[in-house]
Amino acid sequence: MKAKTLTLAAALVSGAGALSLGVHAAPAAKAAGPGAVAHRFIDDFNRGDAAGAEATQVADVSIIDEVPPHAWKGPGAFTAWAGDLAKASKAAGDTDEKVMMGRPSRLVIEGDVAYAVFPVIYRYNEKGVATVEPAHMVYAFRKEGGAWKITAWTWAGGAPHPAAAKPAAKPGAAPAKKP
Amino acid sequence: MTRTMLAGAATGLALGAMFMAAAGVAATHPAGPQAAVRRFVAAFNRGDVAAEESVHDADATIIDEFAPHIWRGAGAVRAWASDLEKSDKAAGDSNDHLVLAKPTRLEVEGHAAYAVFPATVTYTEKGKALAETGRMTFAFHRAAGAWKIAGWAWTGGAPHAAVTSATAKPAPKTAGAAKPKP
Repeated sequence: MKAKTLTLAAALVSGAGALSLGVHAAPAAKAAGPGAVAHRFIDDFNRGDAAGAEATQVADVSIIDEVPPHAWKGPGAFTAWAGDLAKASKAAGDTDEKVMMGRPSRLVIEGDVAYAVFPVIYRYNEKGVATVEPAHMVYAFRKEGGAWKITAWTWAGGAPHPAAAKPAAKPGAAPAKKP
Repeated sequence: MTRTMLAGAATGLALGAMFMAAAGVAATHPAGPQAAVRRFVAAFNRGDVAAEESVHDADATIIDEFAPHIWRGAGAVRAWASDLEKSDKAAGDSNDHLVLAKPTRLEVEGHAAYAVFPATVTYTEKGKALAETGRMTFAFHRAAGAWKIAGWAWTGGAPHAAVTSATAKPAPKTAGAAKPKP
Protein backbone atom coordinates (compact mmCIF):
# COMPACT_ATOMS: atom_id res chain seq x y z
CA MET A 1 0.00 0.00 0.00
CA LYS A 2 1.18 3.41 -0.81
CA ALA A 3 -0.76 4.94 1.97
CA LYS A 4 0.58 7.44 4.36
CA THR A 5 1.35 6.70 7.96
CA LEU A 6 -1.22 5.25 10.26
CA THR A 7 -2.69 8.59 11.11
CA LEU A 8 -5.79 8.80 9.00
CA ALA A 9 -8.81 10.78 9.99
CA ALA A 10 -11.70 9.26 11.86
CA ALA A 11 -13.85 10.17 8.89
CA LEU A 12 -12.28 7.30 7.02
CA VAL A 13 -13.62 4.84 9.50
CA SER A 14 -17.19 5.27 8.43
CA GLY A 15 -16.44 4.66 4.76
CA ALA A 16 -14.19 1.69 5.28
CA GLY A 17 -16.44 0.29 7.93
CA ALA A 18 -19.47 0.49 5.71
CA LEU A 19 -17.68 -1.27 2.91
CA SER A 20 -16.66 -4.07 5.18
CA LEU A 21 -20.18 -4.70 6.39
CA GLY A 22 -20.60 -7.46 3.89
CA VAL A 23 -17.90 -9.46 5.59
CA HIS A 24 -18.77 -8.47 9.11
CA ALA A 25 -22.37 -9.39 8.48
CA ALA A 26 -21.30 -12.98 7.92
CA PRO A 27 -22.61 -15.60 10.35
CA ALA A 28 -21.23 -15.40 13.87
CA ALA A 29 -19.21 -18.56 13.35
CA LYS A 30 -17.15 -16.74 10.75
CA ALA A 31 -16.86 -13.48 12.65
CA ALA A 32 -13.45 -14.47 13.99
CA GLY A 33 -12.26 -16.08 10.76
CA PRO A 34 -9.30 -15.00 8.67
CA GLY A 35 -11.41 -12.63 6.58
CA ALA A 36 -12.48 -10.76 9.68
CA VAL A 37 -8.85 -10.43 10.78
CA ALA A 38 -7.90 -8.90 7.43
CA HIS A 39 -10.74 -6.40 7.78
CA ARG A 40 -9.65 -5.53 11.31
CA PHE A 41 -6.21 -4.78 9.95
CA ILE A 42 -7.60 -2.39 7.34
CA ASP A 43 -10.06 -0.81 9.77
CA ASP A 44 -7.25 -0.20 12.27
CA PHE A 45 -5.02 1.12 9.54
CA ASN A 46 -7.70 3.53 8.37
CA ARG A 47 -8.26 4.92 11.84
CA GLY A 48 -4.56 5.25 12.57
CA ASP A 49 -4.42 2.53 15.21
CA ALA A 50 -0.92 1.18 14.58
CA ALA A 51 -0.96 -1.05 17.66
CA GLY A 52 -4.30 -2.53 16.66
CA ALA A 53 -3.12 -3.12 13.11
CA GLU A 54 0.08 -4.78 14.29
CA ALA A 55 -1.88 -6.99 16.68
CA THR A 56 -3.59 -8.66 13.71
CA GLN A 57 -0.23 -9.97 12.49
CA VAL A 58 2.32 -12.47 13.76
CA ALA A 59 5.47 -11.04 15.28
CA ASP A 60 7.58 -12.08 12.31
CA VAL A 61 5.16 -11.09 9.57
CA SER A 62 6.37 -10.83 5.96
CA ILE A 63 5.18 -7.88 3.86
CA ILE A 64 5.54 -6.97 0.18
CA ASP A 65 4.40 -3.47 -0.75
CA GLU A 66 4.87 -0.94 -3.51
CA VAL A 67 6.95 1.46 -1.43
CA PRO A 68 10.68 0.84 -1.11
CA PRO A 69 12.38 -1.30 -0.01
CA HIS A 70 9.30 -3.37 -0.97
CA ALA A 71 10.01 -6.35 1.31
CA TRP A 72 9.96 -6.53 5.10
CA LYS A 73 10.26 -9.68 7.15
CA GLY A 74 11.01 -10.93 10.63
CA PRO A 75 10.64 -9.27 14.03
CA GLY A 76 10.01 -5.55 13.66
CA ALA A 77 8.84 -5.91 10.06
CA PHE A 78 5.50 -4.23 10.67
CA THR A 79 7.02 -1.21 12.40
CA ALA A 80 9.69 -0.88 9.73
CA TRP A 81 7.05 -1.08 6.99
CA ALA A 82 4.92 1.60 8.68
CA GLY A 83 7.95 3.87 8.95
CA ASP A 84 8.92 3.40 5.30
CA LEU A 85 5.33 3.94 4.25
CA ALA A 86 5.21 7.24 6.11
CA LYS A 87 8.44 8.38 4.46
CA ALA A 88 7.25 7.45 0.98
CA SER A 89 3.92 9.17 1.41
CA LYS A 90 5.52 12.32 2.75
CA ALA A 91 7.96 12.40 -0.15
CA ALA A 92 5.12 11.98 -2.66
CA GLY A 93 2.90 14.60 -1.00
CA ASP A 94 0.08 12.18 -0.29
CA THR A 95 -2.73 12.94 2.15
CA ASP A 96 -6.22 11.77 3.01
CA GLU A 97 -5.53 8.13 2.29
CA LYS A 98 -8.33 5.63 2.46
CA VAL A 99 -8.19 1.89 1.80
CA MET A 100 -11.52 0.24 1.03
CA MET A 101 -11.48 -3.53 1.03
CA GLY A 102 -14.32 -5.66 -0.25
CA ARG A 103 -15.25 -9.26 0.28
CA PRO A 104 -12.61 -11.84 -0.59
CA SER A 105 -12.55 -12.98 -4.19
CA ARG A 106 -10.66 -16.05 -3.01
CA LEU A 107 -10.66 -17.64 0.45
CA VAL A 108 -8.99 -20.97 1.13
CA ILE A 109 -8.95 -22.42 4.66
CA GLU A 110 -7.27 -25.71 5.54
CA GLY A 111 -7.15 -26.41 9.24
CA ASP A 112 -4.95 -23.84 10.91
CA VAL A 113 -3.76 -22.07 7.77
CA ALA A 114 -5.57 -19.91 5.24
CA TYR A 115 -5.11 -17.76 2.13
CA ALA A 116 -7.27 -14.95 0.83
CA VAL A 117 -7.39 -12.40 -1.97
CA PHE A 118 -9.35 -9.18 -1.52
CA PRO A 119 -10.10 -6.50 -4.10
CA VAL A 120 -9.25 -3.08 -2.72
CA ILE A 121 -9.44 0.53 -3.75
CA TYR A 122 -6.95 3.02 -2.46
CA ARG A 123 -8.00 6.67 -2.58
CA TYR A 124 -5.76 9.57 -1.67
CA ASN A 125 -4.79 13.08 -2.63
CA GLU A 126 -1.40 13.49 -4.22
CA LYS A 127 -0.29 17.09 -4.17
CA GLY A 128 -3.94 18.06 -4.12
CA VAL A 129 -5.05 15.76 -6.92
CA ALA A 130 -7.62 13.13 -5.97
CA THR A 131 -6.07 9.82 -6.98
CA VAL A 132 -7.38 6.27 -7.13
CA GLU A 133 -5.50 3.01 -7.24
CA PRO A 134 -7.37 -0.25 -7.74
CA ALA A 135 -5.44 -3.18 -6.36
CA HIS A 136 -5.62 -6.52 -4.59
CA MET A 137 -4.35 -7.61 -1.22
CA VAL A 138 -3.15 -11.16 -0.76
CA TYR A 139 -2.96 -12.64 2.71
CA ALA A 140 -1.62 -15.79 4.36
CA PHE A 141 -2.95 -16.63 7.82
CA ARG A 142 -2.19 -19.00 10.67
CA LYS A 143 -4.22 -19.82 13.73
CA GLU A 144 -2.30 -19.19 16.95
CA GLY A 145 -3.82 -19.99 20.31
CA GLY A 146 -7.22 -20.26 18.71
CA ALA A 147 -7.01 -16.88 16.98
CA TRP A 148 -6.27 -16.18 13.33
CA LYS A 149 -3.24 -14.00 12.62
CA ILE A 150 -1.82 -12.62 9.40
CA THR A 151 1.50 -14.30 8.66
CA ALA A 152 2.17 -12.42 5.43
CA TRP A 153 0.49 -9.99 3.06
CA THR A 154 1.17 -8.40 -0.28
CA TRP A 155 -0.15 -5.32 -1.99
CA ALA A 156 -0.66 -6.11 -5.69
CA GLY A 157 -0.93 -2.56 -6.91
CA GLY A 158 -2.67 -1.33 -10.01
CA ALA A 159 -1.96 1.86 -11.89
CA PRO A 160 -2.82 5.00 -9.90
CA HIS A 161 -4.83 7.52 -11.87
CA PRO A 162 -6.62 10.78 -11.18
CA ALA A 163 -10.00 10.05 -9.67
CA ALA A 164 -11.70 12.21 -12.28
CA ALA A 165 -9.98 10.48 -15.19
CA LYS A 166 -12.47 7.68 -15.30
CA PRO A 167 -16.20 7.73 -14.67
CA ALA A 168 -17.26 6.40 -11.32
CA ALA A 169 -17.72 2.65 -11.36
CA LYS A 170 -21.25 1.36 -11.28
CA PRO A 171 -22.20 0.19 -7.82
CA GLY A 172 -22.27 -3.41 -8.97
CA ALA A 173 -18.72 -3.17 -10.21
CA ALA A 174 -17.23 -1.83 -7.00
CA PRO A 175 -14.90 -4.25 -5.21
CA ALA A 176 -17.07 -4.11 -2.13
CA LYS A 177 -19.82 -5.74 -4.14
CA LYS A 178 -17.69 -8.63 -5.30
CA PRO A 179 -18.45 -11.98 -3.76
CA MET B 1 -0.25 -20.95 -8.18
CA THR B 2 -1.96 -24.27 -8.23
CA ARG B 3 -0.21 -26.54 -10.52
CA THR B 4 1.46 -29.76 -10.68
CA MET B 5 4.75 -31.12 -11.27
CA LEU B 6 7.20 -28.71 -12.60
CA ALA B 7 7.45 -30.80 -15.74
CA GLY B 8 7.74 -30.31 -19.48
CA ALA B 9 11.09 -29.15 -20.72
CA ALA B 10 10.01 -28.47 -24.27
CA THR B 11 6.94 -26.54 -23.27
CA GLY B 12 9.02 -24.66 -20.77
CA LEU B 13 11.22 -23.35 -23.52
CA ALA B 14 8.18 -22.36 -25.52
CA LEU B 15 6.70 -20.55 -22.57
CA GLY B 16 9.98 -18.86 -21.92
CA ALA B 17 9.89 -17.55 -25.44
CA MET B 18 6.29 -16.47 -25.01
CA PHE B 19 7.15 -14.65 -21.85
CA MET B 20 10.07 -12.89 -23.44
CA ALA B 21 7.92 -11.82 -26.33
CA ALA B 22 5.12 -10.66 -24.10
CA ALA B 23 7.29 -8.84 -21.65
CA GLY B 24 9.41 -7.25 -24.33
CA VAL B 25 12.02 -6.33 -21.80
CA ALA B 26 15.01 -8.47 -22.65
CA ALA B 27 16.47 -6.14 -25.20
CA THR B 28 16.28 -3.01 -23.09
CA HIS B 29 16.93 -4.38 -19.62
CA PRO B 30 18.78 -7.66 -20.00
CA ALA B 31 19.88 -7.68 -16.38
CA GLY B 32 16.96 -5.82 -14.80
CA PRO B 33 14.55 -7.22 -12.27
CA GLN B 34 12.30 -8.52 -15.05
CA ALA B 35 15.15 -10.74 -16.19
CA ALA B 36 15.07 -12.50 -12.82
CA VAL B 37 11.34 -13.10 -13.28
CA ARG B 38 11.90 -14.36 -16.80
CA ARG B 39 14.48 -16.84 -15.55
CA PHE B 40 12.17 -17.92 -12.76
CA VAL B 41 9.29 -18.59 -15.15
CA ALA B 42 11.50 -20.49 -17.57
CA ALA B 43 12.91 -22.58 -14.72
CA PHE B 44 9.43 -23.26 -13.37
CA ASN B 45 8.16 -24.39 -16.72
CA ARG B 46 11.02 -26.80 -17.24
CA GLY B 47 10.86 -28.14 -13.69
CA ASP B 48 14.30 -26.89 -12.68
CA VAL B 49 14.00 -26.22 -8.95
CA ALA B 50 17.70 -25.41 -8.58
CA ALA B 51 17.38 -22.69 -11.21
CA GLU B 52 14.25 -21.37 -9.53
CA GLU B 53 16.13 -21.18 -6.27
CA SER B 54 19.09 -19.43 -7.86
CA VAL B 55 17.04 -16.35 -8.81
CA HIS B 56 15.70 -15.89 -5.26
CA ASP B 57 17.32 -14.42 -2.18
CA ALA B 58 18.43 -17.09 0.27
CA ASP B 59 15.69 -15.99 2.66
CA ALA B 60 12.92 -15.28 0.16
CA THR B 61 9.26 -15.09 1.10
CA ILE B 62 6.56 -16.79 -0.98
CA ILE B 63 2.76 -16.54 -0.63
CA ASP B 64 0.75 -19.02 -2.67
CA GLU B 65 -2.76 -20.42 -2.71
CA PHE B 66 -2.00 -23.96 -1.52
CA ALA B 67 -1.15 -24.91 2.05
CA PRO B 68 0.69 -23.85 4.10
CA HIS B 69 0.47 -20.65 1.95
CA ILE B 70 3.63 -19.06 3.31
CA TRP B 71 7.26 -20.12 2.89
CA ARG B 72 10.20 -18.08 4.07
CA GLY B 73 13.78 -18.29 5.15
CA ALA B 74 16.48 -20.68 4.04
CA GLY B 75 15.07 -23.44 1.86
CA ALA B 76 11.81 -21.60 1.20
CA VAL B 77 11.88 -22.14 -2.56
CA ARG B 78 12.54 -25.88 -2.29
CA ALA B 79 9.89 -26.28 0.40
CA TRP B 80 7.39 -24.39 -1.75
CA ALA B 81 8.22 -26.53 -4.80
CA SER B 82 7.80 -29.69 -2.75
CA ASP B 83 4.46 -28.58 -1.32
CA LEU B 84 3.32 -27.56 -4.79
CA GLU B 85 4.08 -31.01 -6.11
CA LYS B 86 2.18 -32.62 -3.24
CA SER B 87 -0.78 -30.31 -3.72
CA ASP B 88 -0.93 -30.95 -7.44
CA LYS B 89 -0.59 -34.68 -6.97
CA ALA B 90 -3.49 -34.67 -4.52
CA ALA B 91 -5.62 -32.64 -6.93
CA GLY B 92 -4.68 -34.73 -9.97
CA ASP B 93 -3.10 -31.79 -11.80
CA SER B 94 -0.56 -32.06 -14.60
CA ASN B 95 0.78 -30.24 -17.66
CA ASP B 96 1.08 -26.89 -15.95
CA HIS B 97 2.04 -23.89 -18.01
CA LEU B 98 2.74 -20.43 -16.61
CA VAL B 99 2.75 -17.33 -18.77
CA LEU B 100 3.29 -13.78 -17.58
CA ALA B 101 2.39 -10.70 -19.59
CA LYS B 102 4.05 -7.31 -19.44
CA PRO B 103 4.22 -5.87 -15.95
CA THR B 104 1.37 -3.56 -15.06
CA ARG B 105 3.55 -2.00 -12.38
CA LEU B 106 7.30 -1.71 -12.23
CA GLU B 107 9.05 0.40 -9.62
CA VAL B 108 12.84 0.45 -9.45
CA GLU B 109 14.61 2.50 -6.80
CA GLY B 110 18.32 1.89 -6.54
CA HIS B 111 18.81 -1.60 -5.20
CA ALA B 112 15.15 -2.36 -4.63
CA ALA B 113 12.33 -3.00 -7.06
CA TYR B 114 8.68 -4.06 -7.20
CA ALA B 115 6.62 -5.41 -10.06
CA VAL B 116 3.15 -6.80 -10.75
CA PHE B 117 2.58 -9.10 -13.71
CA PRO B 118 -0.71 -10.43 -15.07
CA ALA B 119 -0.36 -14.21 -15.03
CA THR B 120 -2.12 -17.19 -16.50
CA VAL B 121 -1.56 -20.78 -15.54
CA THR B 122 -3.09 -23.55 -17.57
CA TYR B 123 -3.15 -27.16 -16.46
CA THR B 124 -5.04 -30.40 -16.70
CA GLU B 125 -7.02 -31.57 -13.68
CA LYS B 126 -8.20 -35.14 -13.88
CA GLY B 127 -8.30 -34.86 -17.65
CA LYS B 128 -10.03 -31.51 -17.80
CA ALA B 129 -8.18 -28.50 -19.19
CA LEU B 130 -8.33 -25.62 -16.72
CA ALA B 131 -6.97 -22.11 -16.57
CA GLU B 132 -6.47 -19.68 -13.75
CA THR B 133 -5.78 -16.04 -14.35
CA GLY B 134 -4.23 -13.97 -11.63
CA ARG B 135 -1.29 -11.76 -10.84
CA MET B 136 2.20 -12.28 -9.54
CA THR B 137 3.65 -9.54 -7.38
CA PHE B 138 7.41 -9.49 -6.84
CA ALA B 139 9.82 -7.64 -4.59
CA PHE B 140 13.45 -7.58 -5.71
CA HIS B 141 16.73 -6.63 -4.28
CA ARG B 142 20.04 -6.18 -6.03
CA ALA B 143 23.18 -7.58 -4.47
CA ALA B 144 26.62 -7.86 -6.02
CA GLY B 145 25.23 -6.41 -9.24
CA ALA B 146 22.53 -9.04 -9.69
CA TRP B 147 18.80 -8.70 -9.16
CA LYS B 148 17.26 -11.39 -6.98
CA ILE B 149 13.67 -12.05 -6.03
CA ALA B 150 13.20 -11.14 -2.37
CA GLY B 151 9.63 -12.35 -2.32
CA TRP B 152 6.52 -12.92 -4.39
CA ALA B 153 2.82 -13.59 -4.02
CA TRP B 154 0.30 -15.31 -6.24
CA THR B 155 -2.98 -13.43 -6.48
CA GLY B 156 -5.19 -16.25 -7.58
CA GLY B 157 -8.48 -16.03 -9.37
CA ALA B 158 -11.09 -18.73 -9.71
CA PRO B 159 -9.97 -21.65 -11.89
CA HIS B 160 -12.19 -22.15 -14.92
CA ALA B 161 -12.37 -24.35 -17.97
CA ALA B 162 -9.61 -23.50 -20.39
CA VAL B 163 -10.68 -22.20 -23.78
CA THR B 164 -8.84 -24.09 -26.47
CA SER B 165 -8.79 -23.51 -30.19
CA ALA B 166 -11.19 -26.41 -30.56
CA THR B 167 -13.75 -24.99 -28.17
CA ALA B 168 -13.26 -21.27 -28.56
CA LYS B 169 -16.04 -19.36 -30.20
CA PRO B 170 -14.98 -17.31 -33.17
CA ALA B 171 -14.47 -13.69 -32.32
CA PRO B 172 -17.12 -11.34 -33.65
CA LYS B 173 -15.94 -9.65 -36.79
CA THR B 174 -16.33 -6.28 -35.21
CA ALA B 175 -14.36 -7.15 -32.08
CA GLY B 176 -11.50 -4.78 -31.61
CA ALA B 177 -12.37 -2.79 -34.68
CA ALA B 178 -11.81 0.91 -34.46
CA LYS B 179 -14.90 2.98 -34.05
CA PRO B 180 -15.88 5.00 -37.10
CA LYS B 181 -14.59 8.50 -36.93
CA PRO B 182 -17.31 11.07 -36.58
